[in-house]
Amino acid sequence: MVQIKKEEGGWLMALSWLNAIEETARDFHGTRPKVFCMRVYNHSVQHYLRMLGDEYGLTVKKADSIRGAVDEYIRVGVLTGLFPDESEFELEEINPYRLDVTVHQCEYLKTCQALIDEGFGVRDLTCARIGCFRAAVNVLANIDSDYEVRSFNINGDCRGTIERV
Amino acid sequence: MPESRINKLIEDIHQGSDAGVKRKAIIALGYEQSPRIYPVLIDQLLDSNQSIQHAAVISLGRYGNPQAIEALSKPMILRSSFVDVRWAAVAAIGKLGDHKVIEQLVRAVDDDAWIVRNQAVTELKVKIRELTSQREAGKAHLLIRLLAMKDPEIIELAINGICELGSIVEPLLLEGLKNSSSRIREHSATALGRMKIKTVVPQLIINLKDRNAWVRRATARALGIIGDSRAIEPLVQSLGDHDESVQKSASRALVQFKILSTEPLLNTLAHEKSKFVLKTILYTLGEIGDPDCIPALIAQLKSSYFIIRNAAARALVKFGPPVIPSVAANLTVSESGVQSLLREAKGKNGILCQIRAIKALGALEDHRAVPLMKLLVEQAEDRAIADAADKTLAAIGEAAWGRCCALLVLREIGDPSAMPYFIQALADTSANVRLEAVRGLGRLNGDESIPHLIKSAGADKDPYVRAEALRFLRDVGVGYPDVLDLALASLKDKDRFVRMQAAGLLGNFHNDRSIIPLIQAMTDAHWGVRERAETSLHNFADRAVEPLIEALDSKSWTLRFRAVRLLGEIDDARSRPALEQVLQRKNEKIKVKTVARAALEKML
Repeated sequence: MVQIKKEEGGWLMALSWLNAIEETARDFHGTRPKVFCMRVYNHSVQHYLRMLGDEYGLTVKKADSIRGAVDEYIRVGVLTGLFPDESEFELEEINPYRLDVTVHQCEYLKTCQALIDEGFGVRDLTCARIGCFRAAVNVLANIDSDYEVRSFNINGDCRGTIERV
Repeated sequence: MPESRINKLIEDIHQGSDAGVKRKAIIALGYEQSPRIYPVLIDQLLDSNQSIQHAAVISLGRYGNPQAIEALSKPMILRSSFVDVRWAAVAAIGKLGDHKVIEQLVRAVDDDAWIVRNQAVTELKVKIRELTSQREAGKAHLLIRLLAMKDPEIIELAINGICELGSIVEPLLLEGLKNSSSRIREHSATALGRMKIKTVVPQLIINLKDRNAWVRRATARALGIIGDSRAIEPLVQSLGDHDESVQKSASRALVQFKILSTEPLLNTLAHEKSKFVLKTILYTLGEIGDPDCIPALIAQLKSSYFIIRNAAARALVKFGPPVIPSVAANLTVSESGVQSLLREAKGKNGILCQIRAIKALGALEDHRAVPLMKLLVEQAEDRAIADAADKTLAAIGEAAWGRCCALLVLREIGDPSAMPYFIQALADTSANVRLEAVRGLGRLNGDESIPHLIKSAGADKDPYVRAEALRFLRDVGVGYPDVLDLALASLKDKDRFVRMQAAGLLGNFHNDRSIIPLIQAMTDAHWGVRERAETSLHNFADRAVEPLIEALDSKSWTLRFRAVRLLGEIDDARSRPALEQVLQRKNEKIKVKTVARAALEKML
């Protein structure tokens, strides 16, 4: 009988919830679930950061740029075990209004792969990872931004862009 | 070699205190054939020096006496702590023995050292080939035993060998299906499948419920190859297996039964609740391609589950153009009079009549009932009325998904005969349906589609639909004067995504009429629109220089900033004095001056 570690069990549960949300978004919004998912990611980031503050006393700094907000979110993510390492991401500030993000070994790859298998294009991916970075930009820097997945690779890096609107 | 020389070597072995000399003598003896050599080499296997043991093993292999196998198979040799001894022993046993050494070789396949395992696998392959070439049924159990191995090449050789032996191995394979080793059960099923032995079908059906997923997968595959119709129902049940690979195997097996599978699959489709099972059934029906299942597939286009309606759509695409009329029939929206039903649904004649009317509107899937139903859901005092209205709204919504997916099917089939259906769907009340219609028209890419895309881009109520229509026009509409007019007008759309698409489209058009509007768009409230306008203007190169120079006098500093930056990129000599003038301005923003300086440096 397979015994799943508590930590892994929690992660499985989180992934199941994420898949369920993504799928429900498509059940109700068909091929344009992004607005719904963006709201979900916003709520998720806000709850996460608030819990870190309320329950663990962790201070999350405000930022004044897209890059600054994503940097801070990654820093906090590493500190709280959400990300194993900062090197999991590469950020390239094309200009103050646009940030290119490369994600190595994303935990959500399978969720995206399932959508690709369903016939979605890369442009249609809602990408929980970059979506949450965008939400962090909204929450930490108060900058309204949009995001888009530019490339997807099940065995490697995913790339996307966060852009001010 | 003269006898004296052999004596000298034996003497070196017995008396030599130097291990190097002793080892050299043992190796040299391995090439000789004198009967006196064998006992000497056997004795050396007992030497405490592993290097001597190693040399003795090598020489015994070379000497070629099969009696040595017994000594070489002893744990002190075959499980020696010295890897080279084990490696040489496996090679020697393989060389000296016949099929009887398979047992020893099989044990060595699990050795810790890669080199020993590799040697064992190599020797085993040789033995399997020998066994197979002998075609003796009595030795078949050895091949069955090999089915427990991990190495895929050995398994493949063993299965091929078993298949060559033919039906005489059937009882052994039947036993194999019940073996305690899951690998033997799995590969026995594979072998039986390849041999297409029908008598074992009942046991294979039992094995479809095996606790091991690999066994279930191989069994499903075998049943598909054997093609006995008794397996269809159990295979349909296997589509509900919790392991995806088993589901896929069962699906592929059912496809091999072709239209014989259709009816059981349709029966299951009618009552199955699991979305994953439903998805697999729909996929299987699509692969089978039986026209009898088209109505059932079309019915699933309305599913409230995205993955189910998507799977149904993909299954229907497999049928190609012949399915177009049936799918298109799903696009028809009721235009019959519903006024009396709407009046009844307002509750003029009592609750019972009201509920009946609400349900009737749901059955008609009539979108004209949506505003009233939403009102009833929010405001009805009676719970039953609110519930009925809710269900009617769901039915209407699902019907819209049905139309969306019907359009998706037509789009993926890509037949130009579907054009009228897309045009008709542009008038649908559901924005999602209109969106799919726009995508369909964009994909068909004919001249006929352009006026309709223009209409949608300019007049659709939903900004997403307008933006999508413009996006397609960027690909197919460049060069059409009406598209240019539309794009210019869309630069003033209230939705920023529409304005962004319009700016991009004008960049593709390269018409000078766009230059001034694009310069104005560089003052848009949204950064994305300003950025897209700047990129588009870049495409005009020197044609945009004069208007950009004029823009340097604009009151908007962001416009001056972008104009300066663009002039630097375009690199036209006419702009140099104007840029130098910008640097001289006393009240100019530092950011503008900085970018002007960079532009001038670039132009040098």
